[in-house]
Amino acid sequence: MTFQTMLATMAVGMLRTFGVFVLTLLGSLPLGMVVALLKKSRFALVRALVGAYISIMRGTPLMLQLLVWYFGPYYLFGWSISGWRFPAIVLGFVLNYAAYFAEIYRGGIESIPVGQNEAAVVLGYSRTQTFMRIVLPQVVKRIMPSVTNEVITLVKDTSLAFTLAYQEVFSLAKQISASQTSFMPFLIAGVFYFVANYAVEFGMGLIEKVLDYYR
Amino acid sequence: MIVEMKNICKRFGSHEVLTDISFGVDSGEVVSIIGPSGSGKSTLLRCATFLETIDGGEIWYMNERAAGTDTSGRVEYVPQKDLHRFRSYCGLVFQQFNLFPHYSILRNLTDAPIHVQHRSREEAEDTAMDLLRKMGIADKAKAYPYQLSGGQQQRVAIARALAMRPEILFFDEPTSALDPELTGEVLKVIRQLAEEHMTMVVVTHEMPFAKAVSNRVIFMDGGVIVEQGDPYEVFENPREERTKQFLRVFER
Amino acid sequence: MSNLNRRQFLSASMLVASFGLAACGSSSSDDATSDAPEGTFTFKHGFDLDYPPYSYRTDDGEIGGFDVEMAQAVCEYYGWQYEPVPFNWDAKDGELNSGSCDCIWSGFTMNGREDDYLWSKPYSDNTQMIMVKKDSGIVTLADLAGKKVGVQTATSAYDLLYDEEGQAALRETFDGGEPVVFETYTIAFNDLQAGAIDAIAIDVTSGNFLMSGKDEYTFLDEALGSEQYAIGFRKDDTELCDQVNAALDALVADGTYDAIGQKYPDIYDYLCLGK
Repeated sequence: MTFQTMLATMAVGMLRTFGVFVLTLLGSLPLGMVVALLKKSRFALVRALVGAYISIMRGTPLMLQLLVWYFGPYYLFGWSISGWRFPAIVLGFVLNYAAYFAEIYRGGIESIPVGQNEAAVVLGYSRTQTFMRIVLPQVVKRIMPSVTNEVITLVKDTSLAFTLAYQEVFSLAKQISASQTSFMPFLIAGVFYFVANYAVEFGMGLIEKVLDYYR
Repeated sequence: MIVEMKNICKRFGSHEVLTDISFGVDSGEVVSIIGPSGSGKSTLLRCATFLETIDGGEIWYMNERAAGTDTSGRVEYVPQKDLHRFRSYCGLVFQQFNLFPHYSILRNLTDAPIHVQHRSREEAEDTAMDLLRKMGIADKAKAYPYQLSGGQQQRVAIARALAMRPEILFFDEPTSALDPELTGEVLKVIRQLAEEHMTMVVVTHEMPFAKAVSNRVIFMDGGVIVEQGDPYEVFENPREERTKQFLRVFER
Repeated sequence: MSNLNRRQFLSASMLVASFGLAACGSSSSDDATSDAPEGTFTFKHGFDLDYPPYSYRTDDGEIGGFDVEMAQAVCEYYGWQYEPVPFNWDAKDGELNSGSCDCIWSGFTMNGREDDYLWSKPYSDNTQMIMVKKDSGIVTLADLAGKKVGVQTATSAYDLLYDEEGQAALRETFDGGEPVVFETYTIAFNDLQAGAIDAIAIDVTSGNFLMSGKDEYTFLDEALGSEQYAIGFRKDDTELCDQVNAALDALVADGTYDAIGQKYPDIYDYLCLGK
């Protein structure tokens, strides 16, 4: 196999990795906020359910969760799971990362001084306005470093999609390495992950800089 | 009466913070509340501005009842949409300023008028600039809170409260978080407002200020009003032993 | 950067999202899903892409191997639509039972798993061997005492080392009484080259594949054990199993089996159908 072929084959995997990455973020970043707010619900039952969800998502391996999401419908209900592979992967990643993001958001929300809330209430802001106009913008700034960490972890975690036979870049590296008895594919994959994460750091750095106008 | 608090009781758990407190404030009046820390002064302000709910008694604004005890003895507040109106009657200036750090000074003053009171941006900004000029910080309109000194921040906080055109303004120890050399500029602003007959209730430890500016002084201790009256009477001629003790500490 | 406006942000998000969609459009199964007429049976071939030369990525980066070509030949024989399902080996039973694939056909050892699947007739012999460096001084199985011996997880060589009727006794003589377990044989082979381990327990075809073009490695003369490869079906899928068996017979008779086998010299000698 020529180096060009190797690169071209793996490029397809990189695109797939990127697909899981982007869809996971698009799903989990907003869902995490919903979860974080439900965790602060005034209904004890809701809080307990959300707490259990977060514990399970964080307390079990993502690989296992992916297997459950994909095979679960068949084993539990006997449903056909044809065509379910990619949705299951995205579902598994989104639900897992939403749990982590939720805890980051919750920490961020709780770190905002209570005086901010009180000032807004006295000025007549509604609950929604207080959250959207006063609390959330400050939360975003505070959680940026933790979010960056999590996003970088996600870039590397995408390789777990191989569990459900998703031919992402790391699966391809393993396969080509096996057939070519060469370490080069792993090297290529390594460079890919590094470059992707460098881009993430750079992008998040820009956002942090934009938010740096106040302290 | 702008505001009237009747027989207010407030508990935190089993600890009673306010016991049967009653007082009212007339339009144009400036009332100072003094007393040792832990006497319930701040809690009283927080009850009056609806940051805390009362456990007994009644709150009236503009001769309309906002909260009161029903027949079963439980305190009932007016529905949320009406409470919103009551909130608009009162402003509160915090000890810690609580400016919104992510908004410019100007936006701190205009955001609520625009998004809560639905006033036009133009009108809100005109009002805001007038207030900033009055506070002597018009040149800071585009700055952010962290760029201002504590005294300047507190003046912005006062302007922010005034921008909502409240009927009455409450101050919760407005100079306690400031370096001593910065308290003067804030007290000057409050004095100026008093001269314009702004209705105000000021919780403070600045005795000379309270004496000079207020129409009435309330001395609180242990969750009750121990004594109230004309500032000269209370400061020069206190009737109650506890008041005397408290004031003696400040004379030293 | 501070004047990045909403429209720019939206168009950037759209770009990113369309990449994602493009990526999911070409989901798990690589290619080969042709547009067959409605109602055609689709034969979903489950296999591990880490297993050359039976099923692997060829030099063109495509899916290939002896098992893949044979499965395609069976489909051609019946006019079925061929769908490759390259799965994660650890999840093979879930893939099969849930119907994600119709068979496990990927250098799959039937020995020791006779009752777990419905088996086709065996199509390839395989022998478990010990691979060493020629100059290692290891000549017999007894020489492995106290040595570090590598093996790939979830392979029949691994199973053999833990089988009381197999080579469990031999395993206990290894360094630490355990083999060094690797994710793939490629990594194990790398460790052997680097001298981190002394030997690898491996099936002969995989071993030949790894050693090809490298003269300094050899197998010990003594085999660890022998086994046969066959196609595993769901236990109730008798009809499909019978059909595939019939097709295999036909492909042996018309020479296709032999012709495909000749493309894979590493395993050609071990192919056992029609012999």
